[in-house]
Amino acid sequence: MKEKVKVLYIDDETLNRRIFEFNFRDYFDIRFAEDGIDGLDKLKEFSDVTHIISDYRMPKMSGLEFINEAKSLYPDKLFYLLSGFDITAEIREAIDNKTISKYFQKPYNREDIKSTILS
Amino acid sequence: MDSILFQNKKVLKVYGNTDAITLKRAHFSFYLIIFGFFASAAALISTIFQSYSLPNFDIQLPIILSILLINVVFIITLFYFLKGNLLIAGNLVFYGCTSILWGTILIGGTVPLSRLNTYFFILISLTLLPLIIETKKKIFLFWFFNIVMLCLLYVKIYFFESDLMDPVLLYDTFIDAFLSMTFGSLAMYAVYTLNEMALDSSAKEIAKREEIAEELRFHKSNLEVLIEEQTIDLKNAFSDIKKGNNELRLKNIELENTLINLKNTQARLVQSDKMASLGVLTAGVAHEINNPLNYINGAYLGLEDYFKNKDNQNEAEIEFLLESIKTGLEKTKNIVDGLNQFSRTNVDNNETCDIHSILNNCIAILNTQIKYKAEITKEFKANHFNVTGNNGRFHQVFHNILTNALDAISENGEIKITTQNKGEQLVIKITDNGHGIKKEQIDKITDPFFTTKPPGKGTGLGLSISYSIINDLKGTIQFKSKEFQGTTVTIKLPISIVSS
Repeated sequence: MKEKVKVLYIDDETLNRRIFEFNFRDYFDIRFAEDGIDGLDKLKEFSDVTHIISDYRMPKMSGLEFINEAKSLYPDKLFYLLSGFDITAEIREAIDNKTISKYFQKPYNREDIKSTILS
Repeated sequence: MDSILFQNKKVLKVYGNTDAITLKRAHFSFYLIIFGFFASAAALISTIFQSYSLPNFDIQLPIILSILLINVVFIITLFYFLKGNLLIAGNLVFYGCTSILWGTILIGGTVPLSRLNTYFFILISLTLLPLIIETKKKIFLFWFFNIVMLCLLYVKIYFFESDLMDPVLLYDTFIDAFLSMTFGSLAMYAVYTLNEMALDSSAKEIAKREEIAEELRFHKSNLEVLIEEQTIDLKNAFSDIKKGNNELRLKNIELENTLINLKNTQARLVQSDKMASLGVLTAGVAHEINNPLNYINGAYLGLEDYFKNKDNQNEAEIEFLLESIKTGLEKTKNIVDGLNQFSRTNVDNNETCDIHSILNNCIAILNTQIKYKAEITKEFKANHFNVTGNNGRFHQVFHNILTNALDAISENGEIKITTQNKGEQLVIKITDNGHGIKKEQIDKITDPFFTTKPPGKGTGLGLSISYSIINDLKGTIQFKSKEFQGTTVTIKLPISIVSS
């Protein structure tokens, strides 16, 4: 069997992390982080992670701040934003300059995320 | 009398333009000539009658002739007078009469009677003298002419008619005539000089008066100019005032319009403050609702997987997924409930308002913003927390105060909310440890449009509206703040009579 895509999911809410796990564990090999700082640590720890999906509003550091920092460290990895907010100008800009590969909105469409990550 | 005479047709016409002295002269001269004419006419007639009664008629002839000549001269003079030529008339009568007189005396006037007859002419001529002579030269000429004639007469009598007169008596008479002629001329000269001086002084007086009159006229015209200037100034001032008045009226209208505009703007801004709150609200609410929906959605997807693949049976997992759905539904319901409080359109202040649940609602709605910035501590110690007012408005007040507290905090904030009863009042204290309010600004924070937030972020109406809402409900709102340490907002409200 082909090796699963390694994904890092960052969300401060436990419920969200667990649901994500339930929904995607058959398709991705998932690692979790609770916030941006934790996310950077986890990226260092699991260097084989290729796709990173982050929540937008989180304590300490916003999802976008985390992605900006992480992208500069790991420019080859693909970053995605998953949030309950509508798309903002800030997010639009990040998409335009390819910092973010795609923006997913909560409640998410599983097929959309699945096909984007697996393609 | 004079005036009546000279107003008489022709005479008036003739002398109308001359000065008063000349008029007077003409006046006297005219009547003297008329008198002289009648006198000489009478003399002529009497001489003619006398001549007939006398045997030597021939002797009377030169006298009759001379009187006749004088009559002719008088008629011509009168003619010139009536024509208006005073100078010709005067000179004609004077020189004419004098010449005829002397001519008569020298040629044939040896008869004493004939000399007596000339009395009238001498009288008239002498009377006319001051009227006719107007220069000193003429006085001299008059004197010289008479002296020459007198000398001629003396020579004639001395050499040709010495039988008629004793030479000594003749000499004596000559000296007498010479002296009287000279003294007469001198007297005339004196009168003339005095007259001239009087005229001169009157002329000076007149000139002086005219000067004064001129000065007066000048002052008068000056005064007129001044008055005119003053009038113009006044008119200008008046028109200025009028203009000013007009401008004021326009300004007034403008101000009234501005006031109306301001009122409209205020109303719009109040609305926009509501809309701004609503904007923050909907963004927060969208996120808040999307999160629980994410639970439900994720749980649904999980359950779907579960039922598709019965082999993978796990009780705990099912329970978790069901729990997720329930949590999602509850959270969504709470948010929608809280939102409803804001969208209420009731404006009456007679609702019973549960302040505790209003505070909870506001915290729930601001949850997204609070969560990552600050920790909220609630100390709801009040037993009576129902007040009479308007639910929507209370939501607005606490939403505003909590938003301000959050805006003052950059991170690691603490917001403490306490409620307690003091007498008949409910006291709500909201304390934050944000950047606080500057001392000089604390009195202004409830002023409409006062804001410390960057442009576009705040309307400056939040606290102003909150203040008026609390005031309307007979409550008070106080702000205590220390810069860089935090702010405490204290709201005191009268407890509702029907409190629980």
